[in-house]
Amino acid sequence: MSVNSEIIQAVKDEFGEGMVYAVDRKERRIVLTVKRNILKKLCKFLKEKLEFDHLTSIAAVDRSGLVNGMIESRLLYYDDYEMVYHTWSHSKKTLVEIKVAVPKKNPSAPSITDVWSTANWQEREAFDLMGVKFSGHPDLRRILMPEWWKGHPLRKDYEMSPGKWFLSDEDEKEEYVLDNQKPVFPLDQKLAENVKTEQISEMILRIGPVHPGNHGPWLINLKLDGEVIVDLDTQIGYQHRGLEKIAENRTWTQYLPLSDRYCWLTALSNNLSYVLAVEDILDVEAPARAQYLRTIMLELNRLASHLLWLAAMGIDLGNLSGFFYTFREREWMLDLLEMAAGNRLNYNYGRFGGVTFDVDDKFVKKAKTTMKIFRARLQEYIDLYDGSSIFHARTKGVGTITAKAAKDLGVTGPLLRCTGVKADARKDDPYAAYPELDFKIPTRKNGDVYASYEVRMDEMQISSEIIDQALDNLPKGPVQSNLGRIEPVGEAISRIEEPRGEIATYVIGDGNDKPYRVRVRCAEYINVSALGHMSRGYKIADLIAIIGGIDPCLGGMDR
Amino acid sequence: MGLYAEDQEQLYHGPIPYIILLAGAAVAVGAIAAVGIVFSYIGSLGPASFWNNPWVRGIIGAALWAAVVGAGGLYLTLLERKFMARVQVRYGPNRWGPYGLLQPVADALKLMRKEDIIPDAADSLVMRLAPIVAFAPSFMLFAAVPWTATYVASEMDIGVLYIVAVTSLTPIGVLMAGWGPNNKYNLLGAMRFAAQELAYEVPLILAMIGPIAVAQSLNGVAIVEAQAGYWFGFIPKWNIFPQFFGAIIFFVAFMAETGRIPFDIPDAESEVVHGFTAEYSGMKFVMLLLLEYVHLIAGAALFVVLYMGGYLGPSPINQFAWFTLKLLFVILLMMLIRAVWFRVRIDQIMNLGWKILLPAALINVGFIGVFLALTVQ
Amino acid sequence: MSADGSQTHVIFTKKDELLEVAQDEKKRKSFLAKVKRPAEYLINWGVKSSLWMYAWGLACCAIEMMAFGAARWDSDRYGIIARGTPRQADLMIVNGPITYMMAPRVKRLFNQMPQPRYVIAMGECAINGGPFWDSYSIVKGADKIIPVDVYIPGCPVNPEALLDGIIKLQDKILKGELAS
Repeated sequence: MSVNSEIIQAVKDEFGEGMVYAVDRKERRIVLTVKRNILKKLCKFLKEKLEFDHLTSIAAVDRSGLVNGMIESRLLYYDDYEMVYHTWSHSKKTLVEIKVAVPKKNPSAPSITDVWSTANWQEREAFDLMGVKFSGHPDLRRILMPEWWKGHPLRKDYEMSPGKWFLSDEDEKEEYVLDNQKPVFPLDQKLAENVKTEQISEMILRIGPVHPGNHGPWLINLKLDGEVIVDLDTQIGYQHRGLEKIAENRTWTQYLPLSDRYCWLTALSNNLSYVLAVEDILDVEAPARAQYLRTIMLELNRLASHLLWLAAMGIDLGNLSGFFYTFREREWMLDLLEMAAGNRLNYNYGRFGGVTFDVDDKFVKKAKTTMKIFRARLQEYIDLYDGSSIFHARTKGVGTITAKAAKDLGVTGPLLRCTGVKADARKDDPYAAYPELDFKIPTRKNGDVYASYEVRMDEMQISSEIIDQALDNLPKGPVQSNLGRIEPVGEAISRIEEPRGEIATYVIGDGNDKPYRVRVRCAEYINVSALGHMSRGYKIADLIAIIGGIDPCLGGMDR
Repeated sequence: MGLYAEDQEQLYHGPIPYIILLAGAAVAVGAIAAVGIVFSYIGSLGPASFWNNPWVRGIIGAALWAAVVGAGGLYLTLLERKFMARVQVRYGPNRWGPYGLLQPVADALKLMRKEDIIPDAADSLVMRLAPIVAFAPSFMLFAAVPWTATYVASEMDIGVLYIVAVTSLTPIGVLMAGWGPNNKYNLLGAMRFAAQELAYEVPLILAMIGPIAVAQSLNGVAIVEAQAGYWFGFIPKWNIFPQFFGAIIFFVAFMAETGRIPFDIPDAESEVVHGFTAEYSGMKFVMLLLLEYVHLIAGAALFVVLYMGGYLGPSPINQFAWFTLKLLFVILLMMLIRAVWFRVRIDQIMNLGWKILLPAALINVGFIGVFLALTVQ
Repeated sequence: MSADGSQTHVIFTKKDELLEVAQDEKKRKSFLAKVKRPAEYLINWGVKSSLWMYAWGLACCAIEMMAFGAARWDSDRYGIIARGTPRQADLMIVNGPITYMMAPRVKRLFNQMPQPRYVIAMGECAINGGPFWDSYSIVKGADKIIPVDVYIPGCPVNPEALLDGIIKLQDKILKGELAS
């Protein structure tokens, strides 16, 4: 009996045969359709009994416009709206999809924040963009759209109104004043163990929306006692471009370049995440050479992204030279990517069933030379960063997070691996050519900024080795497969390990030339939601180091 | 490696930039030297001369110093940008004027042209006064620095004490700059600056006691003269050799006082957005910017006087050149530190100041006392 | 124009007027006239030679702006350094899409910059919304809220293109074509 059928059996034993409609889809994925009233119990059961400790994403879907399609939920408990929960087990390496139907009139669902804390921001997002209310949610506010926004954009009947086109000086002032009065500090006693001060003289400091330590426009409202952070509230959405809605107005192929732009530093991962999901529905696989090229490009992209993180970390901690050194090597990575894909940042490299361009021998030769020099240069960074005792003093024991809390908060990527959890989608949930390559997953125990620094440095070393291996084993053959007209029917989710963590794209197609729904779970969004937990009780300067360690990318946070 | 010919080339651009680098520095320091020559000449006229009347001499000195140290500070920014660029595998300013030598002129012209903003919510008077109050004391430091044996702008018996007294005026101006603009980042930066100055003022003064005790004088010239001569015929009798720990304490403390990396928390860009200068624009900003550089020159000059034998040196090169060379060495050392070090956190700065440097400075004073009691009769 | 076709008010008439005045002046002005006012020329030269850009990032182009400041392109050669506070910046490079949520802040930051100040719209998003043109949350171009001096197309803009745009801006400043 496979793992999946065991899980289905366990769930059915617990809740009764008639309450759960279960489908075992391919490998590594189970779809459970349940009624709203047992959702929370099911989640608790999955987490506590079956070790589903990681909530990947929460998607709200407006099914009212769906004409066509193989939809399990139609068989049982059908309604206009639907909440889709994806949860992953680090130990069982399998994904469970829970579907709950929600009525269109007064849509509401039970909040599962007390099962997985990471559900907090995701439910807020569902509330913001789809208007689903969550009973029992501690802090149900808009998150990506401004408070004055009318309507919920992802609903199918939402009229794309242009909003305010022009601003007068009065508008601007009003907005600012409004904003200034509204910091909400959700200081949770359970999470605030770090705060030692009892009597505090508070000062409220706004870091952002534009601040050099922020890595992009987002706002952190700090409640300070002197320089010590008592509480903080994060406001994001300053870069919310509504990509999920745009996807519904583009054809499947037209959306490819846009999927690059969730996060410009990890464009390839985003793009391939979408491509893989669609390939999953279409049930096609890219040719072997394309798989290897994807791997090479993904790792090059990872190197470029990590180098930028190192540069930003240097600036955050006051070392200006690190920025220039790392950008030197980053330019080499970008040269290689540009050589293969034709663009420096947003590559648009993935195609359904392949990649855009093939590479030639010149690329292979240049890539090998680059990797050789790069590994030598990596030692220079370690000398510059690790060799400085001030760097150790600034990062060790700062922003510490335990493995349990990290899993609970849904943190992924180097931030999770630095707490000792060996979780990496490249190994656990393989895609591209990773199953055929030999590589290690670096982990650390401490869970502080320094540990995440070490993990990332190791990852850079390993990435360059993966590239070498893939270049050596690069098979011959075509890089694209001819798929004809693309009109997929069905749903799929793909998980990819991007440099910052796990990106998951959930796609629904209804046989049209446009996607019916594209939902993206970006690692940055979830990682940043853990900022409050990580930084309470530390100082402002530590907050900057912690943000540097999280390595936020605004595009991924706001989409 | 052929593929990377261009990248390899980037690492070395020939000797000219380095020569220009030093030439730029020489312009800055040479201007200082010019003033010195003027004053050496005045000094040689004898005490009865009209030009040697303390008032006349003071007014001329002040005017010249304001111009020269101002220009020196501006060119020091160029020196720093060039130097940092060389460390950071790039060129630095090289478009405006030969080898970028007109860059500070352009900066100055532009900053003069900039609108001078006083925000509505600001405490206007305090905001206007702050740069002056902060800036003036750092100029006043130069009055007591002995550039040669004959030239000190104002030769005082309590020269070193005067310098310490004047240094402690700067935080008042900076606190005003923090309060005036009604900006929290300014305020945070200013509070950090004040805390830092307080913490490091004490070890700084304690470290000064060493050279003062050796010279048995507070006069700068006397302190330098006490370092004349050689051990074994070739090691100069500079205080830095017998009082190495004192020198390190002094160096760290004055680096913290000038607020540069690794102690640049008052104007940490990524934390408090340039700190107490955040809200200033135009010429007021220039004054606060120059504050740092003038402070740097003054601190380095003091270090040279106290520990590196001031203007002393073998005779073929004159005293001025010796002083400026040593000054340049100290300044470049600080710039190198700035280029490669990280920034420390506020509590770490406080710990270093109160818990390590202060006891170390006290122990240092004790040792020097014992040493002098045993040797000097 | 808003969606229902009604005329919307334009905020920055002031700059347009100034531009007109500047252009009129330019017609009257020969090279000789410029030589007669060397002080103005000198100041313009100073302003152009020391354009400090505001260090901020909105989206993809911000990364290319960083690359422009880094070792390969080295903006410092042209005297262009990044300042973290708008009070000390001369040049605002709008390097990404502006959302309705961000728009008041962008305008505020622009207002916080002291004169003379310049704006470069870097990339398609800042020019007209770019690939997100039909999104519900995007302002269709930076010039809807602040006056723009130079537009640089590209998605994202290469550092070379940004350099080209900045040199064009410098030429404009030196010729006195820009009023503010």
